[in-house]
Amino acid sequence: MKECLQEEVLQSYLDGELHERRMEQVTSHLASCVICGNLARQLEQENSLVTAALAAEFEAAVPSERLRQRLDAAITANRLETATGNATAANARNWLSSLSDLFTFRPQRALAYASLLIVVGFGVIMAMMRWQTAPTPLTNSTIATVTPATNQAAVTAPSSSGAIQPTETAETSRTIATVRKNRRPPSNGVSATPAHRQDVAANHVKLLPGERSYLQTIAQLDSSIKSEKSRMKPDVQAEYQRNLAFVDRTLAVARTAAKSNPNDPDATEFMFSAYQSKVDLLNTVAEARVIDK
Amino acid sequence: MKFKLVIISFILILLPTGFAFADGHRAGAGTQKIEKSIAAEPTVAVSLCVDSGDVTVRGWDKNEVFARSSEVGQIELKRADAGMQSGSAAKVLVWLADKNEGWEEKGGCHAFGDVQLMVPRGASLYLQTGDGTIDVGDVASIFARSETGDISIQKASRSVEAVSFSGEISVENSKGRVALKSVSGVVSATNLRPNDQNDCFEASTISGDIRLDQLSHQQVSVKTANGKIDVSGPLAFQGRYTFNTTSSDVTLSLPANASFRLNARVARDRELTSDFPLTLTIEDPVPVIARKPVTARPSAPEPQPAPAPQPKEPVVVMVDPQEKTIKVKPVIVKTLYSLRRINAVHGSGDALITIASFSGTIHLIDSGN
Repeated sequence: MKECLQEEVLQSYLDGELHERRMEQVTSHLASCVICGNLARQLEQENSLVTAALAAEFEAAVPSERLRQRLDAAITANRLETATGNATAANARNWLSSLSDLFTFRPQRALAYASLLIVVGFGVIMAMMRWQTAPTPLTNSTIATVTPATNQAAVTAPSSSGAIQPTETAETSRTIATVRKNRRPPSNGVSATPAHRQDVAANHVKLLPGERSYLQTIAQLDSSIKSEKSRMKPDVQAEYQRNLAFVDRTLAVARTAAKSNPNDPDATEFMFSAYQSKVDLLNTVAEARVIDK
Repeated sequence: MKFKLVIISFILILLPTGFAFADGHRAGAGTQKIEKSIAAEPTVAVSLCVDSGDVTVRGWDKNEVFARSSEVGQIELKRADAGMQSGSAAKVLVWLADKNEGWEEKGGCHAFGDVQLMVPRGASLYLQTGDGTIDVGDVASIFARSETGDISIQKASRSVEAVSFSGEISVENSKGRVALKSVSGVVSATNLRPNDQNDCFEASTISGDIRLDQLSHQQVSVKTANGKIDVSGPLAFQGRYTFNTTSSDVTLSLPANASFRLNARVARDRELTSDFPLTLTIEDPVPVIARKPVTARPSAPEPQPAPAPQPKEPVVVMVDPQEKTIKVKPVIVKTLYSLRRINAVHGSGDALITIASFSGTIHLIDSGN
């Protein structure tokens, strides 16, 4: 050992805390190294001074073995509780860490999440559309757009502020045919507003092609009539309600038949004829001067 | 005490009498006929609108429009042919005003009162009333609109168009194009003829019945949702008749020599009854339900040297789709499927009758029997 010893090594040598071989090495080094020998003698003097100064402390009574055991047991119990809590927390941390792995946006995972989001969003939109259009109060549109133009010869009649347009056609089939020209393309997933809610459920709230235009016209006329309903004469209002009930019952039956017989064009024609009857009724009432003064 | 009772009774008896007399006196004092007239062309167009009151119009031989009323405050006959203030009027607006209305109210439809008009026979009328009746006779063209009142038109020579919400409409002995519309009132037409082959007849109601008698139009279109349709009289040669109802019966009373082709659409379990021997042509059924075994009655016997007696009672026939053509005597046709088309011919098939009844019965009655 040619290198000088560190102070900590010398202190351990003086305290007798080194291994036997290490002790021999240090002893041989001290015998040959003047510096380390001097340092060792200095450390011995310091130790003796400290020992002398703390002699009273060293002679104080120490805890008994039984007390020591009790202390050790208490310490052990405390350590166990801490370990249990740490284990629970560790489990939670492990679970959270595993969960957080799901949100690690690797490319494949990001693509899967995006696809799932699109499907869920589409389903929500469809559900909202069905819910919103189930008892739909339909939007406004042109008054009596399904009322076809007459093909009759012109009548020489004076014009006035209350001129009333004829709304009849030569033939019913022509009426329905003309209505078809005004129909919008059919849309999917929309619900109808039949007179009775039982019919809605029974007919799966699905409109046949061409129904939408009728329903929109009916809604337009109905809103116009309702705005004046409070001013309608009582007898006229009663008559109107009675006829409206007739037409609605007829329409409900015709729709049921049309939906039950999708291959029968006659059933569809009857349904549209019933719709036309309702439009005619609403037109007549809307144009009538039935306001009570 | 007795004397007091007598006096009180006397007073109680006299009081209502006195009030009645006073009212009559006041009415008599206020009932003053107001008359106005204006020179007009023979084909003058006249327009009148009242809120409530009966309107009576008659055609006469004078080239003059005459208006009279005993219940309105003012009448004014205003020329509506702008720029032609001299000469006879081609368009006349009949303005009525109540006693308490000012000049600015004239021209509206707020007047209350009965009105009588005399117009040239070639005049065209445009009449509106709320709950009053309209009675027109012997004019050329009429457009009449009454909300709850009845409309009666006779001897129109060119065209008739009448609309009523709940009132009855009656047209008689008229010519030309006819269009009648009522929601719940009865529509009746008697003895109508076209001026030319383009003139058509149309009638529609929601719940009112439609009764037609002696119509000569070649194009007849009738539609109702819940009202009955009754037609009687001969069919026009090569006429086209369309009857459309949803839940009511259609009854055609035709002469024995009627010649027609019938295209009928009826719902299941509904009948088509006919006093006429029909040659039925059954179309292929719509395959909506399984075919049920049908026991059809035997068809009419083949001609024999000794003619077989015709049955007096109609024969009930369940339409068998396998038999395309069936010659039957007076028949009751029962349909099998949900909605069926029944085509039939009687005679040479001159006129075409198209009937659609969703849940009503079709009756073809021989009016000669």
